[in-house]
Amino acid sequence: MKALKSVLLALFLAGLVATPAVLASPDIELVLATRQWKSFNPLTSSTVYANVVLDKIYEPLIRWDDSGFKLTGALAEKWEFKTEGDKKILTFYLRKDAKWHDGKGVTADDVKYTLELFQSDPAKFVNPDPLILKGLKEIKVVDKYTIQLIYDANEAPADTFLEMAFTTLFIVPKHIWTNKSIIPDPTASLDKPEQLIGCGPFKVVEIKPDEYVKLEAFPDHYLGKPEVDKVIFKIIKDRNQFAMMVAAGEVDAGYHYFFGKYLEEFKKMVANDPNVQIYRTASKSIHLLAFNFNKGFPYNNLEFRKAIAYALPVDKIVQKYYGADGAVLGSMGFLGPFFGNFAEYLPKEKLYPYDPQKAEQILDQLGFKDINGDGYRETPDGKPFEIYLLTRAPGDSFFRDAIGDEIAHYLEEVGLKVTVDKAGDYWNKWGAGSWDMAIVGFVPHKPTDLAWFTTGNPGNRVGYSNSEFDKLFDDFQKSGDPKLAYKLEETLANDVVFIALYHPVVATPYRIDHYRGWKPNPRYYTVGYWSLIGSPTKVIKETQVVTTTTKEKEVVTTTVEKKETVTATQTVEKGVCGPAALVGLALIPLLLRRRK
Amino acid sequence: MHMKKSFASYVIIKLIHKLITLIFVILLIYALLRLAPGTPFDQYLYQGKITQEQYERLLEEWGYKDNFITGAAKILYGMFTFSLFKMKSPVYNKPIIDLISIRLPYTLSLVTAAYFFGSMLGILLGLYCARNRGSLKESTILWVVLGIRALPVFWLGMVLLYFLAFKLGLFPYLTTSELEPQNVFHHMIDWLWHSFLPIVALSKIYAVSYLLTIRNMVTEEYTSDYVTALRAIGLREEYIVERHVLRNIMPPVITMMAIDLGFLFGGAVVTETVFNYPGMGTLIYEAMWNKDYPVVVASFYIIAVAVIVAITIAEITYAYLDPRIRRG
Repeated sequence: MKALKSVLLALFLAGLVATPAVLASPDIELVLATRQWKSFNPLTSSTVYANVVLDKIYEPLIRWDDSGFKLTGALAEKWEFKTEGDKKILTFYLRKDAKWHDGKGVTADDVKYTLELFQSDPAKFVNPDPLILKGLKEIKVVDKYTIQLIYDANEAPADTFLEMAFTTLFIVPKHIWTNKSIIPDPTASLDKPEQLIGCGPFKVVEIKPDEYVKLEAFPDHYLGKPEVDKVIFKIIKDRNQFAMMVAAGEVDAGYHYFFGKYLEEFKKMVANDPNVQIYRTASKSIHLLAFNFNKGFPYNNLEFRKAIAYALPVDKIVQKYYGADGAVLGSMGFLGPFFGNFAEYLPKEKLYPYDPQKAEQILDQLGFKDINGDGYRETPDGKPFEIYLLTRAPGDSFFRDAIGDEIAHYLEEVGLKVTVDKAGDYWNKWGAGSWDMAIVGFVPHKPTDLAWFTTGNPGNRVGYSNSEFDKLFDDFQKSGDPKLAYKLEETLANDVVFIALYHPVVATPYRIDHYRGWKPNPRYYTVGYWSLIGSPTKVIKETQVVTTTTKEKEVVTTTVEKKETVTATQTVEKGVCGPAALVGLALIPLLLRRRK
Repeated sequence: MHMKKSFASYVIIKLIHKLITLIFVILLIYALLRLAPGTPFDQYLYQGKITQEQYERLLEEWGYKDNFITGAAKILYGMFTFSLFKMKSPVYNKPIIDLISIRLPYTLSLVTAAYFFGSMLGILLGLYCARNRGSLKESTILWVVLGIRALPVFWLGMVLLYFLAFKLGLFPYLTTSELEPQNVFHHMIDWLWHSFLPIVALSKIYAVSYLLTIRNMVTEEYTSDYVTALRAIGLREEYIVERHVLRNIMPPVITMMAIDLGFLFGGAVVTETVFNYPGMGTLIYEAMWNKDYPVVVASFYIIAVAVIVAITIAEITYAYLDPRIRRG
């Protein structure tokens, strides 16, 4: 009995000693999910799954702010554009307090080195936006913290697009990258902490390819120590596995999202858990029904494409799978609500409302008639006609297989025979151009991705060609004028280059029991830079942009479904000593009572 | 002496056969990869990250423009000189050996554990079924086992995760452990706990096929005259099974186990993908997806060599034990 009492007393004392330490400064440790990346390198990675992690380790010169719609300085405290004759000069003034994770200061030499490395082989350094190099003639270090980029004014893109492009260029440390014993090949995937020295708010502690990356707060970051102390990004490929892990409290958030019925199921799974919140936002992607212009008649015929547009009740089809609020019904233009004031919303149902009779009328006029009485129309020269519609394999992506069936059904209603190919090797077939019509998802990252519809652009897989559109695009790229974007969008809509289906509204969960400083935005959802920084110890300086800056965009369909009101950032300790002390306290009176 | 000579020539002929098989397998894999359209650089081109000229240069540089004969010759040269592993992956921009050396130990440990667990369970259940032939116990086991056999690994994986990890909390969701191992034993236990679900999912393939094979073979042996005779002289059932029945069925079982080694690697690709297991299966899956030819060919080369070596050892052992085999 004496021994037992001594043990309990020791436990109690241990608890007393340990408890204040836990309460004083609990570490915030988050487990976040990302997915399989191809390579892990700030300059050669091409997947969002690597970039969502690299974004915390490295800093660009300019980055998107916490709303995700406005640009702000990162390593550059301010920047300015000047035009001198046929030269456009972009000057970056760097912060003097930015440090690499090994303690050395970030200087203009590092920026110059990064730019020159990118310039040496842009085909291999595919992470930064190549617009940065368009018309770039000279890189000049003015002083330790000032660097000038001299562009050919006739070639350089608009200031606003250059600013956006610079958000994709992570600056790397020259002293590490030129040291062959640390980085033998700057194009290779990096998998050692000593190779991944950055100047971001987190430094790499451990990295295991295909498994995880462990990060730790960098106390000397120019914004101060981030609120989150430790982060482990785990590779979780499967959405269901992610759902289970969030529900079980094993993962706090991640770059995974749900939509449609998956979201409903997830909500049921976490219905009784007040610590799970869901952030919803319109995705960048647009899912559309494309016509293959390269196949010639009838796909290159405007009237035929209009007939298809009139034959399809897009709202009805999409809402069947997404419900009333699961997707923004597609704009007959290309850019969705994510692109704020660059996007003009041209709903299909307004321009080409569902009207099967009109569709049939147009098809009749074009000469597509059912001659042999089999219920399907033949071509004007009497040959059998069948549309080969390419879509994704079941369960692959955004219900596109089911939507393909629906489209086939409605086209058959107007007498068009359709073969739906739910291809597992979708991308190969899409690239090879062997399809007539295809349901495809595009993910534009910037307004200038409208280039995918210019003549001869490698991204122009539909084969659309319109010299007027090309000319407009050139003007748009050089001026950055949103009004020209609207004109481009209207051209696409008038030419029925595709039939817009939807911009999915994605939903991603995050837990608030370990951390409440989340700042979700549409770029990296809940796991963006600002989300993990929380409220850093230093006040964020006002960024000065001397000339052109992008205007603040309107946030569309971005909501947080709150199941609980979050009032302040609080943390929940994970320590075991506190509970041990409580057990000790509870047991001592019991023990004494038994002795009596 | 004569026997030794003929055995040696048997071994040499077998090795030549296997070498031809290996070359054929590698060429077949390379041909299949070439038939599939696409390259790792297509998406950069489509996204406007690189120009058409840069794309052409990358294709040239990484051998995606080689004709089949040149490409195959490079692969075969790499195969015989082992320089295949020094070739770089166009996706990771790293030598293949760097990629494989991290992942191979994971797959080997998974495959070994699943192999032993599955075959032992299959053999034991097979013996049990044979000895209880016609009973309710046997038919229940068979029904359950055949049901499990019909389940695809990706579905079984999800069900195991849902019930054993999510509902009961018995096993972790991910196969990777972030703990620093204190000692070998601790490391082993931690690995087993984390890898238990993929081991179960992978071993079901073997457990079921062994169960059925052993059950049929043992049943057949049970009906043979020598077993009746042994029973008649009053020997114990366990003695008959251990000393006679098992010995008689062992050679075909050994062959089967060797051949199954190949299927294990195949099954590992699916299982690893389902469970996020960071092994060769995941590497191959990603490499196929990314059209990373060098990595796919080098990975299959390792698997093909492993399978062929296992089969060759089984054949030679078999031939050594049973001279009738080598006489053809």
